Amino acid sequence: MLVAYILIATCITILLGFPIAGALGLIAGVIMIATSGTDLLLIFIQRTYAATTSFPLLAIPFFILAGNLMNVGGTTERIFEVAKLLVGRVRGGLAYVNVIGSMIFAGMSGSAVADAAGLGVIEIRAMVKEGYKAKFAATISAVSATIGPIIPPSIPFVIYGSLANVSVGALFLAGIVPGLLMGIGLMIAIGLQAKKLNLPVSEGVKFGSEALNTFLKAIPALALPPAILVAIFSGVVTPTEAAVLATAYAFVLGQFVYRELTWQALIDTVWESGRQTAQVLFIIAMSAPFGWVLIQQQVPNQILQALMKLSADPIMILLIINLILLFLGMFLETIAIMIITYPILAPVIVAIGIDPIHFGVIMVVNMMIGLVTPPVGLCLFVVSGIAKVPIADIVGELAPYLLAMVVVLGLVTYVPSFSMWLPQLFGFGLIK
Amino acid sequence: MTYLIQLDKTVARLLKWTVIACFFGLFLLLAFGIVQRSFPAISVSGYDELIDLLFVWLTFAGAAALWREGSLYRVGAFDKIWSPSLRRLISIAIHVAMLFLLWILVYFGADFGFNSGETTPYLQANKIYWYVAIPLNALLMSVYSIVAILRILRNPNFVEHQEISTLG
Repeated sequence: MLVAYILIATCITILLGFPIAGALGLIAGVIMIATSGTDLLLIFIQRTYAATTSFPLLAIPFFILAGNLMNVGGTTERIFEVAKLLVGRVRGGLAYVNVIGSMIFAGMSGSAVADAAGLGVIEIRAMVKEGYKAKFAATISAVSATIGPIIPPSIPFVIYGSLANVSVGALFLAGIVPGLLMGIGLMIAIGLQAKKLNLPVSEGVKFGSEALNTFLKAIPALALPPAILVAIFSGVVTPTEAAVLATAYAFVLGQFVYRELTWQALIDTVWESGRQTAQVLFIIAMSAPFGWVLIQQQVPNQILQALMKLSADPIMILLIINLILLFLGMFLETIAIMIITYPILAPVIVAIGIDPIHFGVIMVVNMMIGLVTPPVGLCLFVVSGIAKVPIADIVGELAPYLLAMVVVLGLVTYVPSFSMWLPQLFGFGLIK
Repeated sequence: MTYLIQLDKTVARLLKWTVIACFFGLFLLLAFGIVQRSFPAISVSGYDELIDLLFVWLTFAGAAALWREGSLYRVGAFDKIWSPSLRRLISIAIHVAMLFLLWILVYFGADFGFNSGETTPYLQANKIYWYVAIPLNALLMSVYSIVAILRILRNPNFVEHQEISTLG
C-alpha cells in the first residue's frame, strides 16, 4: 500500500507544480520520518552530499558549457554552413540540412535544448528566408534537436551511466547507430512530406572557391566530434575529461579562430551554464534519498512482480515500459523521468535479460521523444519562442516526424544489435 | 525596504559569482589533471578533495540562486487550469511544504556537518567547509520561500517567475 502512496504522491506533487527536486526530496523526507522518525534524516543528508560529489557527473557542467560556448562563439553557424554544402538541389533541401546539422552538432554537444536554442535560431532563420513556413521550420528544428543526446557525447547517458553503474563510454558507443537511425528516419519523413507540403527546392551544392572556403572555415569545428570519441575510446581521457577538453576547444574556437566570443559573453555563458548545471544536479541530489527510500520500501520488487503478473514476455514488458516512459515524457522533464524510473525498472530489465547498456539507449530515445511531445515538450517551447509560432501550430505539424521517431524507438527496442553492436565490438556488454 | 532590496541584490551577486568561481575552479583543476598525466612530476595535493568542494558548492549555490528566482524546473502546464485564487493557494502550500524539506536540509545538514569531526586526508582541512554548502544554501532558500509566501499573501496579483528548463 505504501508503494502506491509513494507513486501517487510523487505524481500529484509534480503535477501540482512543486519544483521536481523539491517534490522528490519532500517525499523522501516524509517517508523517512513516517517509517523511522528522524533517525534516518542523517542518511538523507549523506545521500544528498554523496550524489553531488560523484566524479562521472562532473561531465555534465562541461558538456553544457561546451554546447553553450559553441552557440555564442560562432561554431554552430559554421556547422550549419557546411551541412548546407552536403545537401544537393532537392525539394526540402534546408529541412535535410537542418537534420544533418543537428547530427554534426550532436557530436559536440550532449544537450537537445542547446541544439534547439543555438542551431535552431540559425536553422529557422535560414528556412523562413528561403520560403518555408515558420511552423514547419520550428517543427523540424525541434525534432532534429532530439538527435543531440543520442549521438555521443550525451548528458542523459552520463546520468544514466551514473545511475546504472554502467560505462559511460559504452553508452556513448551504443548511441551512435540509433542516433544515425533517428537522423535517417527524420529525413525519410521529410522526404515523404516534401511534395505534399510543396517545400522549396534548395539551391544545391555550390562547387568552387566559395564552397571550399566554407568547408575550410568549418574544419576546426568538424574536428571536434571525432577527436572526442577517439580520445575517450583510446583511453586517453575519461568522458569527464573529454567534456573539459571539448569546453577548452569550444573556447579556443570562439575566442581565437572565429573571434566571436567576447569576455563578457564568456562570463555570461559560464553563469548560464552554471544555472543549467544546478537545475540538473539539484534534481540528482534530491533523487538520491528518494531512490534510497524506494529501495528500502522494496518498490522496485513490487513493480517487478506486478509487471510479471501482466506478462512474462520480454517483448510485452518492453512495450509496456516504452508506453509508460512515453506517457511520462509528455509531462515530465528528461532527467527527472530517468531518475525516478530507473531504480524502479532496473530489476525488471535484469529479470527479462536486457543489457543495461541497451536499456540505456531505449530510455534515452524515449526521453528524446518526450522533449517534443505536448503538453510539456521542452524543445517545443524553445523553438516556439525562436520562431514566434504558437505551440499548437507546431504540434499540428509533428505527426509524421513523431511517427518516424517511434518507429526508430521500436527498432532500437526490439533489435538490440543496433545499440549493442559497437559496444560489443569494444568488449562492453554484460549480456551477449 | 531599500536596505532589504540591496541585501537581496548582494546575495544574488554573491551566489552568481560563487557559481562562476566554482565553474572556473573545476575547469582549471580537471584540465590540470589531464596535463598532469603527461607530466607526473607535477601534482596538486588534495585534487579530489578540492573538486568535491567546488562541485558541492556549485550545485547548492546554483540551486539557491534558482530558488531565489523561482526558476527551478517544475511542471507548469496545469497552472492555467486553476483559478487565480486557487493558484495562489497552491503556491503557498508548495512553499510551506518546501519549508519542511528545507528544515531537514538546514537542521540535519548542520548536525551532519558540525558533528562529523572529519578532516580531509590530504589537505587536513575540516570537512565542515564541504558539508556546510547544504545547510547554508538551504537556509537562504528558506528565507526566499518565506519572502515568497509573504509576497503572495500581500499582493493578490503576484505571480511567481517561471522558466523553461534547459536540460536534456
